[in-house]
Amino acid sequence: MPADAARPGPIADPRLRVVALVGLAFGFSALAEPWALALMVALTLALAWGFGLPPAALARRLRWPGTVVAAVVILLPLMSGETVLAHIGPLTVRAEGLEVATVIALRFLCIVAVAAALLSAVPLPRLVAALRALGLPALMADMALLMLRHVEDLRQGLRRMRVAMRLRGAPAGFWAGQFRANGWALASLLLRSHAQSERIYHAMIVRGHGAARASPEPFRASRRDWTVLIALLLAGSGLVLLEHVL
Amino acid sequence: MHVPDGILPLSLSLGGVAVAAGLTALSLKRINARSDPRADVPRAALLTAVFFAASLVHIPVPPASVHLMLSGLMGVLLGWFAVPAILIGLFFQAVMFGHGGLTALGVNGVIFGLPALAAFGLTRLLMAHSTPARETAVAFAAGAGAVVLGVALFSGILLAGLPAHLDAAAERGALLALALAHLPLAVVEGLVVAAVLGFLRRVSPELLRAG
Repeated sequence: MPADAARPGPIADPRLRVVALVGLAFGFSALAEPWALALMVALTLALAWGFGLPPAALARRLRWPGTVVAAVVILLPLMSGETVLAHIGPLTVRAEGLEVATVIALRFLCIVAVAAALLSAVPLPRLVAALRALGLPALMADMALLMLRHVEDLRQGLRRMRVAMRLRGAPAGFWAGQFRANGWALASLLLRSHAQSERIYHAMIVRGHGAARASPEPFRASRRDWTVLIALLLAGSGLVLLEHVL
Repeated sequence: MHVPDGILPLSLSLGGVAVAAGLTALSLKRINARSDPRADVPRAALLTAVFFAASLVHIPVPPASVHLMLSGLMGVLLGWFAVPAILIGLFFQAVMFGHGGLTALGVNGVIFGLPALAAFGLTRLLMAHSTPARETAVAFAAGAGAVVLGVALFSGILLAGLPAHLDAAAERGALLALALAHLPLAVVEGLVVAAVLGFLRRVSPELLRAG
């Protein structure tokens, strides 16, 4: 479990965590009314508190998508709408754009926070096993498990190759015109890793991975797991229903 | 180039899930029709790891930055395996880094998966019995074309997903700027795919038998 992961929390069974996350995430993405968004934020804060989500786990997940969402959220109030709210130097802030940007930012933050709260404490191989138990095809589960083994090896291999290329005098930086050399480095890394990948996969097959009659990893959901799951799904779907009814 | 959570309306997110599920089902059907469906799992897993890691590498294209897509490379080297591989990579990017999103997983799967299948189809159609020079040209076209198609899908989906009452001209302008920022990336990915395929053709041609 990563150092900045949330604690196990009120749902122990990872299958039910995945179901809760999917239900809440799609529910949240349907909300747009201010009162519904306020309740969505409240539910997210309760979940983050209940699962002990550390701010570092959330910050780590905001690093990559944050730039895209930040661009949308900054540009929309400046580029879209007719009702002028304020002038900031040469820029004009418009109400319609600001409204849409706020909805997008809140939905995004809440979905990312709920995902971090529910899944950051689940080890990735166990998450794959949970997805397999929920119906992920065996072939894709095997690919996912094997991929997790390769990521760190590839990262280290690529770093070694870059250092070796620089020691041989290759210029640093992506736009240094070394596309063919980078392509060859990637291809030779693939070649080297491919043989190792086949050996690992054969060992996995011998251990029973992907077999049609292989018994899935046992998961046991407690009564509390089911209760919390149902409560979360009712809360999420209730918000969506209320927004459409009111 | 990943659509994050929260931007698209529910109908579009669910539509993306349906299309991605259809593409995955078709891919798995083609894979399972082989004599040994699991033979290419190690190669697919390896390239999934490359895809997973590469799209986290951001490349400066002033004043913005873009990241590698590798749809073309995935399609050319994996064939039908590309769609499940891309979905797995996208899922872990969303879960581990929040890159992309869970509700946008289907839409992102389409944005990356369709270009991969197009690159696969292009190379299968044009590469058989061709000269090395023509193979290089086709590989470049597959790599670069996949990026262009991916950007077009991304822009179209985002335009369809933003509320209709917003300034359409301004939205189109912003998306056009985004598309232009990706043109250098299209050239780079074309060059990288051509280099990778050229290397593998000479050193290990059996790795090129995607299908």
